[in-house]
Amino acid sequence: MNLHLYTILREGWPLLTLTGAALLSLLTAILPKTHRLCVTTSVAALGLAIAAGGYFFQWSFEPSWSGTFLVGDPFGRFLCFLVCLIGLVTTAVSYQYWKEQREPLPEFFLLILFSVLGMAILVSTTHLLVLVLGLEVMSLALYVLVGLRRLDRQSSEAAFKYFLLGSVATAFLLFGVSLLYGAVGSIELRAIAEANVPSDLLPILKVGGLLVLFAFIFKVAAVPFHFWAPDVYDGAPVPVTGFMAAGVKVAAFGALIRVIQALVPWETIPLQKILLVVSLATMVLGNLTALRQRSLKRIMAYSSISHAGYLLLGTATLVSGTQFLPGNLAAILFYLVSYSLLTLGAFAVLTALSSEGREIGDLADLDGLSEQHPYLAALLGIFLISLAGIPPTVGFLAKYYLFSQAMAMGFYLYAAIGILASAVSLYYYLGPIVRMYFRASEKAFALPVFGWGTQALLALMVAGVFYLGLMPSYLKVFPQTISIIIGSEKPAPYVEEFR
Amino acid sequence: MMPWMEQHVLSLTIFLPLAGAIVLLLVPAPWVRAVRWGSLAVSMLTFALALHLAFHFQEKGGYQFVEEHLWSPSLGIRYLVAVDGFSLWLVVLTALLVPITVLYSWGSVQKRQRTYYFFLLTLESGMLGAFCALDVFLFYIFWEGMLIPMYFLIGIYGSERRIYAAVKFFLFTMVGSVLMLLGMIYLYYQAGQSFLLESWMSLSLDPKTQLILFIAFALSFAIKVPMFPLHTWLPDAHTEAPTAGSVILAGVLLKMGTYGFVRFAMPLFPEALEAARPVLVALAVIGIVYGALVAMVQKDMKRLVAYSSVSHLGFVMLGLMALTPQGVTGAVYQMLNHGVSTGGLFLLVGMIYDRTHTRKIEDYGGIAKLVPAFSFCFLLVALSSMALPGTNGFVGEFLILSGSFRVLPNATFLATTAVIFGAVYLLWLIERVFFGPVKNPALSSISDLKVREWLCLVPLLILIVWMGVKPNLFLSRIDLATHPLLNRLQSYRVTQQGSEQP
Repeated sequence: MNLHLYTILREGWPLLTLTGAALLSLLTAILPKTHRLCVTTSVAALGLAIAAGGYFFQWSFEPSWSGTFLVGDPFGRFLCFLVCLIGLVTTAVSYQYWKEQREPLPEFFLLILFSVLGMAILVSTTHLLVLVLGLEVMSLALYVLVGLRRLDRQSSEAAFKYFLLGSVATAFLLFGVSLLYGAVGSIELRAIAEANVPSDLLPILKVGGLLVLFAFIFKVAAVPFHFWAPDVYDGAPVPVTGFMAAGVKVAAFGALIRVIQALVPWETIPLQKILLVVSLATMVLGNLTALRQRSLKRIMAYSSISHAGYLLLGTATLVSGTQFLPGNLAAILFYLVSYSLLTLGAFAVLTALSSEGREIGDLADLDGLSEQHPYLAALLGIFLISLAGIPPTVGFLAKYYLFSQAMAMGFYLYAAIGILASAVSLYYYLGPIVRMYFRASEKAFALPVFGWGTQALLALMVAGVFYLGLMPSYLKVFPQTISIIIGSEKPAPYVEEFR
Repeated sequence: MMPWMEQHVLSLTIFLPLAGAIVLLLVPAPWVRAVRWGSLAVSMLTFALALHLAFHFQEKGGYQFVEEHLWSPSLGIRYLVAVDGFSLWLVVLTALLVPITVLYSWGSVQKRQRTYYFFLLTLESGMLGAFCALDVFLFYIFWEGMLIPMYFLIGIYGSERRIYAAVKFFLFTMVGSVLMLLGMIYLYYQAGQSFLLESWMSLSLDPKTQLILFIAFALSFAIKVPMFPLHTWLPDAHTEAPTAGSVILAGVLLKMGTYGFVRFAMPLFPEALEAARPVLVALAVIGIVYGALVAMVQKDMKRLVAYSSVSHLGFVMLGLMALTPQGVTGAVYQMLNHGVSTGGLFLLVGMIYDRTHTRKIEDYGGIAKLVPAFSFCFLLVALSSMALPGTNGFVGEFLILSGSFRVLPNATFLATTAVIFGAVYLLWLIERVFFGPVKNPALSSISDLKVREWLCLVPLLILIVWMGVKPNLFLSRIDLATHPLLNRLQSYRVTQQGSEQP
């Protein structure tokens, strides 16, 4: 297919904006030190905002197209929009945080841009090597981000762990990709879905598919490949943890869903069974282990693991025999939106509390927050209660929708255990709330004053929590998002029916 | 404007407290008097609306003041609220108890008042919504959403073990509720993706499925009632909650469990109800006897009243499970009575606690001489709680016992003997606290009831006598809902077991 310059510009301009902003922020190193942080933040925020707007516009109005390496379908565009928003929120709330660090590194914003770029590539492609490229760009930026507090030993240790284990995951992925190529003869997901593979090559296909699946299970931190998550989340700087928890999940699930759509026709790969078992183990283990945690970031890490479990249950509903059911995507997309909103919100508050260069650590650091800073305490309380799945918030609606779909597909046992695990999770979500509200404070919280922009953003997020939880009529935009292009050059028809 | 208000009077009643609560948050923190008077005004207004509902409730029965709006067609949820004979008086009871607790709290809550009244009013909205919702998803949202303000009320404003009590309360209730959620989702798909109670009533499921679903629903409600052995959250929650919290918890929240049975679990699964009935009756009787016996040995006044709640609600469950008109109507009536009398008891205990700062019975003795008005009120409310003829408690218990005697003679026999236990623990409490010599010299300076406290108690005292002497006004409305329920259940029993006259 010819790649006209015009086509590149028309279809890929948000991606180019991201790239441009990233390269531009590299150049801010020439500025004097006092201005560097401020300018880099502005460049990053502007780039992310424009890209987010662009993706939203493309998602709503532009018809789909597909090229050799990238595709522009509603699914991919929506996830790119979401990822850009995640990056934007992270940028907005972490400016104050970095100003207070001993080393205020403007490279943070640069790396966020690159990571978002990698995520955008990851979800917009059906070419497996470009998928690996996107994954690597995202991950490499994240490895550095995790270790960005260079003078903190925990941060460096977490970065090293993440780098080592993440590279193993990438190795899995590459090996799987090469096996798939060997079996099918093409590296395009569409070809893999429709190929005619002779039966003696089927085992190669199976192993290749499984390896790719496992690589993704690592990336989303699902059991049994979740062991890296608590340490890495704990060691990373707080805004990076928030960004990782939200962004990597969104991007990884996006790519995973595309890969699943390609692998579904192959009966030798027991996709549904693997997804169900992994999701069950993740939901149970993630929630149970979190009960004993005392460090806030570790609690959020395990919470993140358990949400990956719920999402995997939702992903399992996409597969029925050898059929891919795109109608079930709406629940997963909604869950991703809800989860990113809530996790980012919770981490935004934690970032606010990690001022003066000191990271927020233990639960006990929250004691009595509600009396000194009622606004922040209420925000964190709302986000945590919503993550636990209590009505009338968006967290409840998202969980309800997901479990409802699982029950409709007949996964009664998994839904039952999942919902019970979710009820158990309430205990550790209440832990910080108990500390903030029910205990008196011994020390004073010296927090930086937030600019009105950040305050408005946080207020908007909380409003979103309740609006999205109580006005589900907007959910009908999601059916437009569920067409995925695989198998033809023409855009796949929109699936109108929405249960 | 007026026609709109006429049409939406029920929604106004439900959401007025919530709106008031949100407005309260905007009041600057130092303006405490505005917060207090504002919350009293809002809750009184809600009570006025509830009275309007009661006045205009018509004799024809059925669901009245119906409001239906489309909420989310894609998810099959509608906003559907209405009152019928079962929920009407519960709504009025709720709307009555909240202003009383607000007025009471003026004297006992001095710190962080704005958040206190915020949570109290939000809780009121949640409770009213749960009583009126006829779309099961909407009911679930109110049912669960109600837990958050209660949790905060117990955890911030309660006594020493408040954190333990609050977390236990929240978790216990939530685990039960999520099982109900699973049952709801299943029924949703069975009913063609609708959450409307009407459509669920017309489903016919096979007995095995019915039993599983009934257990899911019943578990959630049984935790709330609370039925033995799922009652362990109650003593802690009641004892550690602030007085207003205890009054609302005992007065209204416990009724949610029994209301859930009578609105959802019983009508939706008639065959499963038949199968589970012996178990539920047994548990109800155990609850009656166990609650009374344990109440006898309590050393803490509030804990004693908490266990008495377990005992009283065992009576309610017995009446419901009798499935006779007297039994069911008596049970619903007893729900109201329990709200008035136990709510009153908690209020009175709170009043004396405010003066002496101890709830231990051994610290008291002979205070009848010191606070005669208080003692009079306490005695009257306690007599109502032990079902003395002339008080509301008697009417309720008599109806329950006579209604269940014909069909469940053994259970009724045990329950009736437990009535004596009720008298035992209450009279013994009164004897130790009020009569005899004044043992504790620190008590000699306590003051009698103030005007504000009288204003809190007088409505309850009037109701105790009125509901005991002229219950027909209330009973007639309840009957309007009892008969359709029993007809529905009866038709199943007739088809199953031939003719069996209740």
